[in-house]
Amino acid sequence: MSSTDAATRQAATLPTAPRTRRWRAPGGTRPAPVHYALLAPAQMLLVGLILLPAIYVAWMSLQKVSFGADPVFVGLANYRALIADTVFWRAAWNTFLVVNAVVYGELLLGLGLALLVSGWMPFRRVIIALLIAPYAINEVSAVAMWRFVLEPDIGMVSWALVQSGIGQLDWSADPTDALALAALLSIWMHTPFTFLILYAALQGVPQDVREAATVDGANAWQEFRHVILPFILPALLVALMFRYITAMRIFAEVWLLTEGGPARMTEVLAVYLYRTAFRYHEFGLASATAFAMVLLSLAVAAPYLWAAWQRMFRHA
Amino acid sequence: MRRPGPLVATLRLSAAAVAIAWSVFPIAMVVLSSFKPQRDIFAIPPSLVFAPTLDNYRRLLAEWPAFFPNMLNSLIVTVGATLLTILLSTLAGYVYARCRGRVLALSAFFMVVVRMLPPIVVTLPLFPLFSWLRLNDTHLVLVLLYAAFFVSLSTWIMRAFIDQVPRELEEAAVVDGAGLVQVLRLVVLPLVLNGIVASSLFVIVYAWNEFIFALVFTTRIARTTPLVMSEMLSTTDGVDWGVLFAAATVQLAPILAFILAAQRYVIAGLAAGAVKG
Amino acid sequence: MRITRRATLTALALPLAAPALGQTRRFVVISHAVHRNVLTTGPGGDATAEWRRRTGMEIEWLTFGVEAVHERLYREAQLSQGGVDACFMLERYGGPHIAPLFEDLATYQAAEPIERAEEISPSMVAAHTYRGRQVGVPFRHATHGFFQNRALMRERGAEGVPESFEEIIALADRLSFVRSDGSRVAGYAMSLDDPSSLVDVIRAHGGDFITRDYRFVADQPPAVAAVALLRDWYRRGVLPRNVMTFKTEEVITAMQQGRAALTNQPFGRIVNYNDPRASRFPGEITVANIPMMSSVAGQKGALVPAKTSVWAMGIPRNARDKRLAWSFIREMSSPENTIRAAVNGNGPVRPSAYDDPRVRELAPYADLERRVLPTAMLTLPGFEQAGRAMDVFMEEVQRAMLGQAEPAAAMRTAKARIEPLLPT
Repeated sequence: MSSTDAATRQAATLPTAPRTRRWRAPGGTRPAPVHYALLAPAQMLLVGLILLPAIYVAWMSLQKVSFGADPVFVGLANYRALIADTVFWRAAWNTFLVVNAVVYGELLLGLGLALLVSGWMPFRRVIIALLIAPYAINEVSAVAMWRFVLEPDIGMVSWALVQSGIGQLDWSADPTDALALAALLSIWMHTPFTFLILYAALQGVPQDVREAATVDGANAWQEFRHVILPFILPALLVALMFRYITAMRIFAEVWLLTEGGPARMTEVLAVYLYRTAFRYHEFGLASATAFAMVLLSLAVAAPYLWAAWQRMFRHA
Repeated sequence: MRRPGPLVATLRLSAAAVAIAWSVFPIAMVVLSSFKPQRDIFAIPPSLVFAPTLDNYRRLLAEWPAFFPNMLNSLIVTVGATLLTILLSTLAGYVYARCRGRVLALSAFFMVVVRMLPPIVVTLPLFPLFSWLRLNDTHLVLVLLYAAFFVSLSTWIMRAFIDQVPRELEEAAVVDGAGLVQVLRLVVLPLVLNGIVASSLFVIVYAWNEFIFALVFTTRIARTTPLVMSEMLSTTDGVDWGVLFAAATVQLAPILAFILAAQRYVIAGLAAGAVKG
Repeated sequence: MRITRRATLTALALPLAAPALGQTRRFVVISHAVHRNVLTTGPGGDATAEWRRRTGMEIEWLTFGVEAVHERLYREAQLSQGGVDACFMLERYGGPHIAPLFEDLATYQAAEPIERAEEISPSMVAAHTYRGRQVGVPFRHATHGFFQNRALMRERGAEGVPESFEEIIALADRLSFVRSDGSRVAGYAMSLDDPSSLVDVIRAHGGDFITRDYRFVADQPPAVAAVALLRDWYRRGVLPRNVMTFKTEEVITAMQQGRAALTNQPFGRIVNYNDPRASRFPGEITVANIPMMSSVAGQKGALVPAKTSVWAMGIPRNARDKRLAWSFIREMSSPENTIRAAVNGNGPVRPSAYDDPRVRELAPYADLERRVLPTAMLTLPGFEQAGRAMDVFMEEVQRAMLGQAEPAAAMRTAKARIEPLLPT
């Protein structure tokens, strides 16, 4: 531990240096067979329960599959149907907007909360527990309540918004308002995840480094940008990456609010997938939709995946 | 920590109050509503002061007798999934923390990318397969699936923790004659206990509330609480919101209790490990 | 550490043993909770008791939500070896594409007929017959009536039961108002997530959505007029402000809370609306038959062919003991059990059940329901793309309501999009 402290203190004096120094410090052992054996169970689970089914699903996406009939090979017809469907593109666009709003919203909010709570704060533990609570509640109950308080004209929060002059969200008729509300719900439910990770990362910033910066005359913004940010950047990337991947699948917030309506204007990809699979029972098309979502995930998360790859895995 | 000046302190406290209100408000409403008679739950204007009643809880017990046995199933599955995830991710995280290699890098990347597939489609091929293996409606199915979908995140977290354990400690144990398993069990594990709690939190919350896999793969023996709640939503004569919110409150309580109890370990743990990658 | 490991192994091993433990033979029925409830609990008693005693079987009820029942049922029915003995199905999820997954019950009926089978409403039987294959014996129906909130009517000085749809329109206008304290009442509430509520309005105008022989006719003037009415209602606030996201659930809440005054829903809902625990207007909400437009029917008092849905009992093709399953179905369909279930709150498929004094006592609307039963119609006949067709239709209707398209144009677009989906 002391060696880490020394290294950190040294590193802190050169804002850009920490990254290079810390990465060189632990050497890597070349993996021995026993290491692969330790790795195997986790990998097998992923391969068996996700990768192999994914390959089968890829195969299904080239077929027309439904209840009561034998599967028929149709080549790329499902993908062509997707590309031709305006609702699919609207869902893709809506998903793209909502995911970005959610991920960055959570980032800002989570970071803000983490900074707030890691500074001077009485009853910190209780406050943290309360801030994490939305993560634990069942989605259906939460959305039912949010719907109630945001009901136009009569919901408590709607009323408050009107009184304060902000105006209310006409989420049942205006797709922008509806998607904004869905994004808000998602942020509400998932910020605890980002908050936890960032708060913990903040705890790792050594106190003496922060104080040194203040003594040197740095103001809050400079302190944040040059001292704190480099320390929490890895954590930030982890949080961003995983949130991008999971936020793409936003479903309950939209489904319970508008079911993708009105006129399917607020549909997102997960709702589209759900309809295709569970309402229309068109499993080939649903499989194709799933892969379209994977492609979109890759495209959207690509910059972060690239950054993660650079940071973590270049040192082979 | 030094107490800041009064203005800053007031601002901080106000911000915290807003944050708490934002977080807790809908949850408080759900819990409060569970003690209201059904016709008052969605009444306008909503009453914040009212005579509480246990009628909804009573009816939950009477009309949904499967609720608590199903909660037991949820518990079994959650504990099982958490244990499995922790076990696998600790082992894998250890390897990623200590070793470097092209193959390892690719496999770590694979763990992230493979999560991009929407979980729902995995049910399409797996349902007939598990049926044939007679694994449908067992706790094992859910334990395996939940672990599979969380082992990636857990591995990343455990890796960060194990990174912080100095190699000297392991080397000392090896010199003393310990094999790899003993090193893991006696040296590494105790030091990353906080990381384990941190990972567990994410898995537990997920497994406790997970719905789609439970819907597809369980029927009666292994049915979990989210299924009961979804059935409450799909009655033929209107949702009994009072009972639903009572169920939601009961569903929420153990998790909140766990968070309150464990969060000092979670925070301390995440901090000590400091997910720095 | 050791304890943890042992506990882990035990915990993992136990579930593996579970299937072995649960091997005792039970009769598995997949249904909605309501079927289990009306057949086993309530003032009418347990209809399954006698059958269980005779056959020595225990019944295992697997209950799910409405959509989930079918989803699980069809998935189970596709397996080579099924775990489900009998099932309850709703007509709108069926279709000629699914029918092969279920036994043709006509053969069983011929061998061991249901007692007084001819009493069961033929149109209901037809609802579960596809291309000559009868896959279900009707068990439960839910037919729409017209609900009014008397208290709100008194508040606005209105009274009486409308005898024509024009009167309903006038009444809805009258009952849309804002009180001095700012609280708002919408005259009419309806669900817009699927056409089940809307078809009543369309049929009141003399039109239809998709006919029994699979023709799309909602682009005809009567249906277009109905859609135009909805658009007008939405603009003027006769429909609640967020009606676009209304499912059945929201309609019920609106009526119970007095935020809406009129609606069309299954007759059985009267129980919810008059339940003092759930409704703020117990005893104030009454039900009647839905009247046609007098301009269409040529007279007042003509009834709309109300929307009905029919649950039926069936046997999956891969069931283990089909004769046993048929004996179950036969017994549950007996006249005596039909009455028992009706007393427990079921909508009986035998019109004769409405004569029974116990049923009449519990369902004061018995005569009303019986009156409309002969002409009641399904939302749409079952077919493979029915789900998609309904979604497309509601999408176009909502676009018309939002003003994004004229009703006639929206219905023409709907026709163009839906016709390719209809079975040939």
